[in-house]
Amino acid sequence: MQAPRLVRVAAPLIIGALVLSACGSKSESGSGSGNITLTLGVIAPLSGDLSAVGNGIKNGVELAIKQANENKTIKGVTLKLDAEDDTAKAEVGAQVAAKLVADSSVIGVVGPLNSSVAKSTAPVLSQANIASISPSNSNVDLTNRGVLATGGTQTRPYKSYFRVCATDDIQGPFAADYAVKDLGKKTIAIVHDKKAYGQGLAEAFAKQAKADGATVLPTETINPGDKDFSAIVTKLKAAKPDFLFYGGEYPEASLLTKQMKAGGLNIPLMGGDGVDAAEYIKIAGASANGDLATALGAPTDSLASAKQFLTDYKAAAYADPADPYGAASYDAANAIIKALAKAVGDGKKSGQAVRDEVTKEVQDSDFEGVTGKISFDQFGDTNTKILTVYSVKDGKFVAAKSGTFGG
Amino acid sequence: MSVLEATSVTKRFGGLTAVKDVSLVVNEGEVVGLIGPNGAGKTTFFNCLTGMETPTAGSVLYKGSQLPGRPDLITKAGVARTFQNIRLFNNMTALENVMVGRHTRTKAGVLAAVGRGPRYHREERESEEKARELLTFVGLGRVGDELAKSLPYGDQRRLEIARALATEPGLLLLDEPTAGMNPNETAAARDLVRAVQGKGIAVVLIEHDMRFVFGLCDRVAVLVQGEKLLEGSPAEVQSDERVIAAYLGKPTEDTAGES
Amino acid sequence: MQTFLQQLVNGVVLGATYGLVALGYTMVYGIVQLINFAHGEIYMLGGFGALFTYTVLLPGGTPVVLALVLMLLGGMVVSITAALLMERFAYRPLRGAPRLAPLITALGVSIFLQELVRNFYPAKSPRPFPQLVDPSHQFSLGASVEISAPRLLTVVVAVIGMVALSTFVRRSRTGRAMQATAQDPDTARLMGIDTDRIIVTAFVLGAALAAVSGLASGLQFGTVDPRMGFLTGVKAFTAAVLGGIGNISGAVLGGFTLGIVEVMATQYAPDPFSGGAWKDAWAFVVLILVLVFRPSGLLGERVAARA
Ligand SMILES: Nc1ncnc2c1ncn2[C@@H]1O[C@H](COP(=O)(O)OP(=O)(O)OP(=O)(O)O)[C@@H](O)[C@H]1O
Ligand SMILES: [Mg+2]
Repeated sequence: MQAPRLVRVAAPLIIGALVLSACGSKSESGSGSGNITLTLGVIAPLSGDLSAVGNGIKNGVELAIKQANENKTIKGVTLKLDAEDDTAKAEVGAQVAAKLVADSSVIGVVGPLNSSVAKSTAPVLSQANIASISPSNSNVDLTNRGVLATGGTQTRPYKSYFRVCATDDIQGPFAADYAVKDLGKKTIAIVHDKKAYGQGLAEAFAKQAKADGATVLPTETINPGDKDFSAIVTKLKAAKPDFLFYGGEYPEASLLTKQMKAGGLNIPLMGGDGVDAAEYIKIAGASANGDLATALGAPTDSLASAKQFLTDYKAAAYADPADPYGAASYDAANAIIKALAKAVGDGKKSGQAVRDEVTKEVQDSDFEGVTGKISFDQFGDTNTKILTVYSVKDGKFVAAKSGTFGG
Repeated sequence: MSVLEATSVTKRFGGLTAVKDVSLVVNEGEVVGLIGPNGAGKTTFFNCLTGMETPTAGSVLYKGSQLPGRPDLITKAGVARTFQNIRLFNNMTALENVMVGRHTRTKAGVLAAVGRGPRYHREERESEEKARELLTFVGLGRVGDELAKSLPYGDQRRLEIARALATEPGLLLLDEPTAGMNPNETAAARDLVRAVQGKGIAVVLIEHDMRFVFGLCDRVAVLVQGEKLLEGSPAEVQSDERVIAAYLGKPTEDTAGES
Repeated sequence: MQTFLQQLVNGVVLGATYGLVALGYTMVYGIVQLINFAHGEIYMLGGFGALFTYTVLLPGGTPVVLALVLMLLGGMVVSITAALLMERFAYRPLRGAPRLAPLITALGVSIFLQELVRNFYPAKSPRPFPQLVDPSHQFSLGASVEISAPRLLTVVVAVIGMVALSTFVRRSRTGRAMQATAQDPDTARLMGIDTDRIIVTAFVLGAALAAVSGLASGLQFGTVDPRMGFLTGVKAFTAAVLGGIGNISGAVLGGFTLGIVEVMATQYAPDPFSGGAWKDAWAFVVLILVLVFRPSGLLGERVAARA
């Protein structure tokens, strides 16, 4: 008697939850005219805390696809978008990657946003030799750059994985140089969220800051999702730091800086690209003034090459902003589109052959994208490792310095 | 008009018929005894009257109208009971136990308590006064603020009666009110039942203490294996051979206080 | 010493929220032996209800105190409605079912509510929450120990809520009926108590208190987000168990204990195990120690000891 009753009650609820969570997780843009239709996949968080950033990625790709179809860049092929929501979770990433692999029309993927997700999508996509280009993964492991710090020999873990952004081993030190050399900070507190991205970034920062001669306090960590950081603020305050570096993302960073300043610890917070978000300032309010964030690439609006992109993006009237990764995603999509155009030109139109060929052509990419020159080294890393420090002035991130680490 | 009119009440548990076709009428001001060997179905009959069990068949009228099917509504209608195995709210004081009994006779809800207006205060005060009166009535005037579980056994039985009286019943069902009591306490219990009767409340009591039953009750019904064997004045029942046989069949019965 | 006192204040603020939410767990558990894991979401809905009231219903320029009162009411309406619906449609049909059934349902309800809010407030979460109580306004507690206005407010409303609830339960007709139902529902029914209504009352009171802390949390942190109920819910549940689930004073004590342990662990735990990362581990160490020596929690005997 009880079991069916339980099922009757619980099933609709659970199914309801699943349906709701699935809402808006997927969108496909329509196809135009053309002989065959191929698919460019996107893997990004389209729901949840990071959805604004994830949708920026999706929109950048969608724009590139639209233009390619309108301009008939790829002869005889209509390209369509399949944007999959990874919800910023590695497990979900692996599932949607497998789904894209199973769809034989998928010839390349842009994404994912998070390094932690890439660690589970890259093996799946590389297995099928589908080219994937991330606009934002900065974790060193994905291209095995970690060995460089210890003088080892770099080998490529994922044969079809590429990225158009700089990496944590550069982002962290770049930020440290700026804090110690440009700003003259001496006692630096380090806090991170224990995730692959946050911890990697914070550790790279701490190492370079020490090398630059600053005193680095013992690292503090928080849990993603925590809201009350008053205990950490009180603890740090006693050590009198003049600067805080946070490895992690804006939801926690914005609360941390607010509570820091309310708690009388009036020092700037600096973070990586995970903090470089309009929401950071919206939540932190006036507390954000003077805070800093590094980002991969040069500011989109500072690039002459990006003007047209920004105009087009605006014209498309997307709900979410292009920054931070819309432009890089647009470039990544174009790298795949160009590769596909060549592959199709060579007569490869379907099946594994076209995937293999696209990956090969992406490796040989060499063009001026809207964020700069797009080309890859033999490990899948971009050759253009530009970074920018932004600082918050009057409620806006303003570019303070662009360059590359050591350069 | 009769206070209680139970007609052909039957209760089956699977294959076992615990109460079979039992009818019982209780008139205003009466004290009726219900006796029978262990397992005869006496408690089950009470359960059927109070909504703790739904009778398989039969009807129960209280003061001429059908009793509702829910225990709380039956209590509200005017039937109260005590338990064979004492069921007090152990972690509440004696006074609070009695005040819980006042639940149906008071009104204040959550909002009144939050608002704490004069009506709420008056009702709380009246409720407490009534509860203290009842405690005094059953002879527990001194122990109002003690936890129910810390009271001696006999007092706990009396507290159950006070709590049942707090519901302002017209019919009180007592399930073995003297079980576990010493002779002094039993005597006090007899006085208490008489006092309840004096308030105009009809009483049905289940007892194994025959002296207590025959000394107190106006009428006695005998239940054996779920069926009503006979009903009559104490003298009639006492001298009936079938009753003696029923009890002789289980010779330890009349001394074994509770099961 | 000054650091210690400041951390103590931090712990009390943290514990106030835990305690207030823990009351909802403990009351419902005490009365129906149900661990309502979706209670964290009720707290979250309180925050969003208050936000909705402010952004959608209140005209600009509403005086702050009036706005706060109306936001609290709005939050309560949303929280209580959700609690009523989940009690009626998710839990009541399962009464008497094996214990696992309502537990799993609770998890389903929890996910459902989170996703529901995400659908109403898509994309850019966390949502900024109006800073009606100035966080830069600090009150000095002597010896340069400070507490900001919204944090002080959190503690004050929590303490008021806790005292009000325990007075209500001990000194009102419905409160006594709740105690009676917790101890022996069958007998409570025979005392004329409509136990279904008492269960609903427990859900409603728990939801009202959760809405109070949802609003306080929004004011304190300046954000609300759909997932905020999860972590707080887990912590509050831990607090309830720590204090002795089913016991109202226990939930309060458990909340403050947990908050203070977390904060002190952040500050003072020995090195490899120090810092915010380990604070939860320390909290669980304390929980396990308490349960080893007092299996039914700090305040021992459950109110809900059943016959
Ligand atoms: N809920 C139940 N389910 C199954 N059987 C039951 C239930 N309640 C009572 N019984 C059975 O019904 C019969 C009558 O039990 P009941 O408790 O009414 O007897 P009683 O006359 O009160 O006995 P005692 O003098 O020992 O209290 C017993 O055989 C008992 O086992
Ligand atoms: Mg019996």
